[in-house]
Amino acid sequence: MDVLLDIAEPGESRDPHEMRPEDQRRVVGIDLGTTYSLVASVDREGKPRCIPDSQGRYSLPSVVYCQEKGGEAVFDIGYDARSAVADRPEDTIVSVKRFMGRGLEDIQKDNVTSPYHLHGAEGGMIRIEAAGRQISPVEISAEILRVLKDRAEEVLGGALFGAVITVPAYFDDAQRQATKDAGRLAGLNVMRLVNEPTAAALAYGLEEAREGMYAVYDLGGGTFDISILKLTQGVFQVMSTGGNSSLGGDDFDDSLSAYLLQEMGPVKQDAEMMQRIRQISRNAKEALTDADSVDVEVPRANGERFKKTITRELFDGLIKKLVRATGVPCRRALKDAGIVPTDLQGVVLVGGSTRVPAVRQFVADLFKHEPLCDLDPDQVVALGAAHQADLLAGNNRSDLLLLDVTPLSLGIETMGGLVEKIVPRNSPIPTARAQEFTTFKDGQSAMAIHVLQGERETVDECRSLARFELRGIPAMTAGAARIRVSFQVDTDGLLTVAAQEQTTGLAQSIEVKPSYGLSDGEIEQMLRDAMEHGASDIEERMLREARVEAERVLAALGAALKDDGHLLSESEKRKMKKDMRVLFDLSQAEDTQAINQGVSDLDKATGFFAQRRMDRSIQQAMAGKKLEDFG
Amino acid sequence: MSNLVACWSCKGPIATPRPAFCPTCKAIQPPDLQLSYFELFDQPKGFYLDLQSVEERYRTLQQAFHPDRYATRSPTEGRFSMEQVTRLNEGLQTLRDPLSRAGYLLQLEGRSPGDESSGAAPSDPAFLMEVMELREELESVDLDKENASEQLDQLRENAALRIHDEVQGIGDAFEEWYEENAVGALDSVALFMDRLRYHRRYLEEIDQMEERLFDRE
Repeated sequence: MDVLLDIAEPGESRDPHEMRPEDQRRVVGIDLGTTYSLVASVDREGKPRCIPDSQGRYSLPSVVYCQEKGGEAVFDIGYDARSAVADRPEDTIVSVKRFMGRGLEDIQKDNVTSPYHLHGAEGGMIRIEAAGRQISPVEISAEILRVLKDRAEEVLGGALFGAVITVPAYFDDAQRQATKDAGRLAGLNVMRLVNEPTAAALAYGLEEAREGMYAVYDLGGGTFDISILKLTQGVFQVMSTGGNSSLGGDDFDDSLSAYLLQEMGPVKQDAEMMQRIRQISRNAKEALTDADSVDVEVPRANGERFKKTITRELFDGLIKKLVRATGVPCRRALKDAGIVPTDLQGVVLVGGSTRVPAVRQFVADLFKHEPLCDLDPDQVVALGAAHQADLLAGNNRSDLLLLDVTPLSLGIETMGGLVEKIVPRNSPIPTARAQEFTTFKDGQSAMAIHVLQGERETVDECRSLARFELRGIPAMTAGAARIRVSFQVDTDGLLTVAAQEQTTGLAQSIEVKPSYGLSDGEIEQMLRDAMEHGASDIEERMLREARVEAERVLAALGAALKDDGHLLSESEKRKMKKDMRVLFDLSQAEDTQAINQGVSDLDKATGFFAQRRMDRSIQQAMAGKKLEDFG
Repeated sequence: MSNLVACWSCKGPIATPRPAFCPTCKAIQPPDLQLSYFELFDQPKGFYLDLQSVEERYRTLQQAFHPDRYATRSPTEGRFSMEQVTRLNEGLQTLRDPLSRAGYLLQLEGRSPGDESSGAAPSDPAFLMEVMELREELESVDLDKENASEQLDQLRENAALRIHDEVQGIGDAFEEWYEENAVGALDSVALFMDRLRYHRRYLEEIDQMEERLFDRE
């Protein structure tokens, strides 16, 4: 038996991509939530589990306390930071998810209340001023992710291969890009962004193995999502999705806070007091899940205490409008999926805010189904994400597959401030769409392209994602140029736009990214600044990629030798096997450059073999025989 | 004689139309754009389709092509998997929707698929009258009245019936074309498509009114 051929012929001995237990890749799913974040992984029995911290706690409060020490920013994260909320509210960032990928105007438009000093960055994401510096929401989120990464690496016993991070289904392009950037900044290999409701459904589907149509109602701390999914033989097909990326349980707290403030009468409303009342409101909300009423006490500045009994009925009244507001996206999602509530097999509840009894009742009435909540609504998203990570890493050979859609329509600005839709919402992704536009002036040499996201018809009511200009259009009469604008949405839901003048082939393409995200250069720079893992992470990745490529080349050549080896003389065959051995040995070592060189050397050395295979097939075809006859 | 192309990975010959995977080394290939959506989905070319079998074929091909299956492979394989699935999604959307399916069939016959954005100005006088009546009905809905929602539902139901008729018209015309090669059959397809577009737009307007009704809550 020829050992070399054995190595080169994995198709026969074993699939090179088949995992042995010892090379299961270490991967995690991360739920980067508004109020809490979690990390989970699939254990040896194939069951997803959340990973606790050293004190046995699963949730990490999404809170970051920024301090300055010796000219450097120092961060406390999670429980450590939460104690600082009351004392240093301006320097303690909570619910940073609400700021991800948003500009200053977005925040003002949404009326997001916050104690922070916010700054608009030039045409981009806001910066939060804390501890005397301006910090981007991406950096803050990266701090949270880094804690979860470290936790997972310690418990799992080694560096992570990659991670899946979840985002609300309703997140737009800028918010998704910001999340992915935060992952990269934390030194994670972000294998995929997965929509939270889809992840939750994945967790449920696995536990229960049910088929049919399901609605996933996900009300978190700061975001609301609804998805309608179809489950068929292991394929999770998202039919439609909708939501509101600035509506969540935090708003319930705000409603109760506003009520308490009103009842207290005149009071000094400084940041400290506001935070305290918010915390009291949150505790009251949580208590009202089981209790019919709860007594609250708020300390006044003069040392007295304001006391009040909050009944569930009163609380339900305060949040009624907010809860009803979730109904609109639900009805739209049902309509987009082309179904009525009775077509559903069930409704799944996700997110801590679905513990509120008024929410459960509302969901049951709306969908005419008693909602399912067998899994912990706080953990279910992370558990589903861990499963998806496991699938992506190839650790698991199941037939499960997630097929998602674009949450919002994508289009470009046309005459009169109108938006022409190019990719309609709820298109299955990845997707590519193109449309032709023309010039409207004689001799027009440039065309501005303004990319927008949203359902409304006018530019003002849609989210602006990017602007760019196609220049150098040759002089033509108005309407003669043909400019083809194409949109490509990848599996993360991220958009790339390209424009091309058809008659001349003049092309320009951009990744719709710099306007609200960070540029690749900025990320690399931040990574280098952090220097924790930065450089080694990048090298590690390049080595991994070089090995994958070498493996592919060897496998392909092995398959070719097996089918067409008879086209070579014995000495040529020996030489080729020797060359393959060289590359195989290189791929087992650590020198990235040597592997890449080896791949290209082998490619050159075997060019004659490829030529011979091709020539033989052409001769056969010429002889009037079908290729298949020789297979 | 079928043409030969080289596999990007093992460099071996592949006959066209190119299959999704190399017969020698099994590497995923870029999609062959010569293959029609009907061939891709393994369906007979025609307007009437077994949509359930389209969906089944879609899921089967997704299982084989999806980028999730290539997440740890080389970037080239990842890219081709993405291209295959993108085309698969385009195909599903084209075949699933009667209007885009009809437009695609016209294209395969060398005709223009018609203007997506038209449907605003019907030229047929009888249809013009119909359109005017429909418009009046829609304008008569008062969102402040309590029965607005039921009124909209009624209009939607009527529109759905008309859409059903136009789709039937398209199907019959295509049948005349494929079976008898009838002169003018494709012209009447285009006519029915225009009417269908109009009714679709009308339905969208009903939906927009309903959204306004939702927003009031």
